Amino acid sequence: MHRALIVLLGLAALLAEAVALALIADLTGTHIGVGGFFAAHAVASLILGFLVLEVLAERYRRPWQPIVALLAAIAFFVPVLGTIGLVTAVLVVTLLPKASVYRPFANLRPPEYPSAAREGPPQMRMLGLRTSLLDTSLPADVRVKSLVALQNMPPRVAIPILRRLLCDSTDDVRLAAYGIIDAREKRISAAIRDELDRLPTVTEPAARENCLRRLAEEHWELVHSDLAPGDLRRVTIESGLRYLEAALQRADRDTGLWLLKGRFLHAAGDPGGAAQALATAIALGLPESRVLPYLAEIYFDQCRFDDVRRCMNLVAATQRTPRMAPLIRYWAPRTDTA
Amino acid sequence: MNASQPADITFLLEGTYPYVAGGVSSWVHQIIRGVPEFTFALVFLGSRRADYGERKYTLPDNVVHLEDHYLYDGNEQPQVRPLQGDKTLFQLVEKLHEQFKLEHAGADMNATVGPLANELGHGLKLDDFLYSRRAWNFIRQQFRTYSTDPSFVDYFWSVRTMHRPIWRLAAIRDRLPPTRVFHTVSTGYAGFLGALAKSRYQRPLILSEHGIYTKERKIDLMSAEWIADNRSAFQRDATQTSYLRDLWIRFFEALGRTCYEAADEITALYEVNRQRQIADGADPARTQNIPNGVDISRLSPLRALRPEETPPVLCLIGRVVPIKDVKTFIRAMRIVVNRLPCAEGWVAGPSEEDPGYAAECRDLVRLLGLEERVKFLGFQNVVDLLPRIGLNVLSSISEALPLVLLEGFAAGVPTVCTNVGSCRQLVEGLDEDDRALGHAGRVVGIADPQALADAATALLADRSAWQAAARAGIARVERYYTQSLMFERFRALYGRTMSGGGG
Repeated sequence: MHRALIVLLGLAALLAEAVALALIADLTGTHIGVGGFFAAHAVASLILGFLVLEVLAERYRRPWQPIVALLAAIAFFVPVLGTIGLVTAVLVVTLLPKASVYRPFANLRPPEYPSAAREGPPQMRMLGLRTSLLDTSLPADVRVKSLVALQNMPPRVAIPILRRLLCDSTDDVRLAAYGIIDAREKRISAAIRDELDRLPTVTEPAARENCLRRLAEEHWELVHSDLAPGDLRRVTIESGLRYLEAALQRADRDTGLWLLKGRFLHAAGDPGGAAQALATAIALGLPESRVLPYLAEIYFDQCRFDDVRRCMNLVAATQRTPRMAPLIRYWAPRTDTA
Repeated sequence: MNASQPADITFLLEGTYPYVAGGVSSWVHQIIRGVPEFTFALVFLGSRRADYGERKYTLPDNVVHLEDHYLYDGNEQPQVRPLQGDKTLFQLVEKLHEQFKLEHAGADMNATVGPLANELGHGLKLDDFLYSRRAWNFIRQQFRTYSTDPSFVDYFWSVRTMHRPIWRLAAIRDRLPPTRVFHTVSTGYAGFLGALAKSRYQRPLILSEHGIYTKERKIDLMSAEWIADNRSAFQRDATQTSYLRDLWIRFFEALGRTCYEAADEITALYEVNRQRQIADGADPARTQNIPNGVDISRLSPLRALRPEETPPVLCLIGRVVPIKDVKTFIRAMRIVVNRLPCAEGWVAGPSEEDPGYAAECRDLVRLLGLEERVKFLGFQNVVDLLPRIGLNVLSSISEALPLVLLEGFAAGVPTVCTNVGSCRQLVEGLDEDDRALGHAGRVVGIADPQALADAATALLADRSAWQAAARAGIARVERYYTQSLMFERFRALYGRTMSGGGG
């Protein structure tokens, strides 16, 4: 199509120029002949302008108006020779193989990929994270960097440290700590909002129970992670317990719900109620090993240390997780060394 | 406004006046109106046009020029073509980067920045950065020498993305209206533009910082989730930030240092921020504090309009945005209402800037059962509002020298505020004379609703303590924080720099 257009334009230009030459050859001194020549020559020049524009490289084509004007002017003011020159140029460009091609991308040496990433200067590897964060004598930069590491730690561990940092004397540390706490709280609040929006629309019993359970669990997450400090803790526990009771009304044999109730009541300062809820969970079939650590904690708060020891002996027999190991070592040393 | 009319002072404004309402914008508006003998040109820099609404202020008559630029809108893409890059200029680029890596480059840095700044967009075009062989080799070599992140692809594109706006700024610099003084209200892109403009036109540059831009950027970048970290589990040291995150932080630090180096006069709102500027590279001799001030004659008549009994109304005056930590105020209201069931919490400020956050705040009100006790009033005129409230509450996580506290003091309203920026200085006093005036309220830690509620209920419940705080506030604002004092200082500063006495 493009080539056909070029040929067509070329023929039109040659035809117009031939007419112009014919007119000038027949010149008898009349004004009409000269005018005709100039008119036909101007048309031929203009067509030639467009013709050359068509074969120009893309990057020389804009803006097209002055380029066409320039080419047409060359053809017009250099009669015959200008036309021949431009036509020759078009023929050369279209018929001969391209001598030079626009190459926007050159070959460059690729970067040397390191086989192993460069080691950064070691920082605080020998120091505990908590120590470096709370040590105000360390440079703020170092402390802010170690704060970032807290983002990957369980909220239960990270939030109390972050809360202490909210009162830090360094602005950067305070703000970074706030940012992390806020992001965690935001995630849980968003989940609560979603469930609350869903609750009035859910009618199917299992789905409704599920919705209530999630609401209770998310409220517990706020309490457990220390994201609801001070008086708000009580408000959050009350709300959480309300949803939990509603869920239990629909599934009163759900051991997970009873376990959660035990934890809520313990957090609310009702160890008796908490122990009873945990006992119900065991009675309904929850493996005792899952309840024992919580039960031990309740007994500890009640200063029933013999009962703590009894629980921990049972824990030692069933769960020797790394996190429980120091507790077992303290409360049930004989079992631990056995 | 004439497009090319010369102005006495050109304000360089990044993401603020006249399109965003808030502390810095109010301050700019106040200054422009306060020194009517000077004419002003405004150069606004934003991210994308879509991020900003209509103008939030009617421009005063002495503003003779306004131009808007959006650094991430319609980026022109030069045609790809192979280039070598100018050897001398790239050597300067290399030297500058080496200097940025040093803690304190000192006067030597000016010798590098000046020639490079003037070549930006001319000898050193965007094409040279994007397509030249020298640029590629420099990036490659820097990656090889310094990067602890194994991904060259992420490194390469990070370098490209972060540096690109620099050429946009150079183009803006080339078309700035004639002026006698450049005045930037932050470091960052606006501050860098100030440094470029100073170098090109040989006009003095004033930097007036409210917050500390570099610090705020750094905190954003620390928790930004879009920055890649390609280290494997074995390479990752949890206590070290990823290299690319560091790269971004260092970029903004470099912009800040360039601006500090170039500025003839540097003002902070209070001493802590001035010290921070010095720590970030500002020459102490060029720094000074000019605190905010309020119009006492407008606000003092409000004291007579107050009811006999202090209204049990806690009011947060400010935009509903995360930095104001409105959620902590709402949580504190839950505790206050438990103790004083008649108490009310008002949030007086526009909610349009961050609709998502505003919705979260309203949901929190619902979640805590405070629908009847906490009200969102939208934007309010402080003159109408202040006589009707009992406490001016500020729960922000970051502030500089909040005007709203001073306005409250002038109207006889004490405050409970967080310990941010100069709040402690405003409430408890700075030097011995100031401290002798007494406490104009209470200061608590950030994000601590319990402490905020405790302090607020204690003040509201104790009439004599409340009155003492109100008296201290009035005395302090009238002595140290008047608008006329602030205007005088800026008038003198402009006069000094225009007559060539800056720095």
